[in-house]
Amino acid sequence: MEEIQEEQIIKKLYRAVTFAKSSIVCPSCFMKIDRVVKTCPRCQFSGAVAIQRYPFPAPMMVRFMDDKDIFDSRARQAISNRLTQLEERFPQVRICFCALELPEHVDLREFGYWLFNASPVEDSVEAGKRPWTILLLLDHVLGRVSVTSGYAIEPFVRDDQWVNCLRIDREYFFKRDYREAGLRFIAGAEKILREGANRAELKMSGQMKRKKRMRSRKEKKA
Amino acid sequence: MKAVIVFFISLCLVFSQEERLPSALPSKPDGHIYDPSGWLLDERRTEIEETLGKAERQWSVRLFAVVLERNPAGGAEAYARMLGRSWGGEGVWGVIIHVPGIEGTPWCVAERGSMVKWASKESFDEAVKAAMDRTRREPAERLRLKVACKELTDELGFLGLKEERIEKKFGEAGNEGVEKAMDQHSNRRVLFVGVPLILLIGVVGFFVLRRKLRNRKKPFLFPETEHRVRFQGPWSGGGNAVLRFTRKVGKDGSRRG
Repeated sequence: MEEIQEEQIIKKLYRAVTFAKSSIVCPSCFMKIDRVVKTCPRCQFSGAVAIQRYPFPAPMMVRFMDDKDIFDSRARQAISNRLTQLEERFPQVRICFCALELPEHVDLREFGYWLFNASPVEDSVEAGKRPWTILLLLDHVLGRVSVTSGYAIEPFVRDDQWVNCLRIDREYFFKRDYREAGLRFIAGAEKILREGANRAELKMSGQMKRKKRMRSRKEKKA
Repeated sequence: MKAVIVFFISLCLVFSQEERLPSALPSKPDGHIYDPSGWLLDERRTEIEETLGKAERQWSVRLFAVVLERNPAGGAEAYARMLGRSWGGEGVWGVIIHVPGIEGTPWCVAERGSMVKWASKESFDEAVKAAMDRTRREPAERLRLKVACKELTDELGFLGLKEERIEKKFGEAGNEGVEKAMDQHSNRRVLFVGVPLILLIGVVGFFVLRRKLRNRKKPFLFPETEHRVRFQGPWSGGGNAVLRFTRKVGKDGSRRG
């Protein structure tokens, strides 16, 4: 797993907690944690532990990580077209689909965390995109699906929204209609992002107003 | 000379005729019957009074039954007219004179008066004539006055009813006209107020919708935030969104989860 230097981190304008709605959960033991930690206080899980558990190279983070063509060409085409539309509305956001087969003891959330972080970042473009990535992980054999999102998009979405979105698509996943399931997932993701965008806009405008008020008060005092 | 003598003789005859007419008319009776001799039986009197009272109540037609012992000198019709003008007032009136034992009795004179607009003189006179014709067909002389009163009441009542209906119709038509005019007025008001209002709402709605659609299509950039870097993950701290879409099947075929 690559280590990111502090200097490389994009300059922040807002604190994540301004928008963040999701609580922090350990991807291994799923304990809720009220602060940012390097290792889980309960199970001691961390990136290093994940590397030890999955000691093989992660694939490149692309739109479809699907060696066994679970998403056929027709599905890929339809999903790609829909994703292009979504990216026009939300240019920062990227959605990736990964279809694989995992042993039953491997939890999809933990594996998603590993894949998200272990996937190589070879250039600045990828470095810019990765925090805005939403990864849909599909275990087509055991019939499991999970969503992992990057740090940048995380404050604007919630885990329960993703679960609801997946629940709505459950029927199509169950029928192995991955084209329809993918399309519906994108539609659900767009709705979640739109809600997040509206919330962010409201917060920002509220902050702007507050700042203006403060500034005018200061000017009056001066 | 002869002509002067003829003139004076005819003048005397005229005056003598005038003299023969009663100098003072009897005063208007309390009800509708003038029968100083008491020729009418009480029962019949009541019936006639009811009939003529009904005509006055319902259609404001004043009818009088007059029983005389002998034919008035100037003629029954002339006398009836004088009585009618005296008792009837300005409205519709009719006087039926009955002289028992005289052929052709009873006689009737009726006038529309100045207030009446509805029935034409012809139809009025026709109604009176029809009533009297039917009366004269009655063989029993004692019943003729009653029949005359009834027939005249019916005829004039029919005309009155007709008038009532016409008035009602005109009234309704008038009301309808007023209502129609009011409707038109309110419709015009609705048009004057409603149409611009609808247009305004439409225009505002159009712009709001357009703005919403534009916003929907407009690229949105999420604000940059401070990454909550955790568990030593450089890009993501993982998530808790997972869903199983098939049931677990055990080795023995049983379903779990």
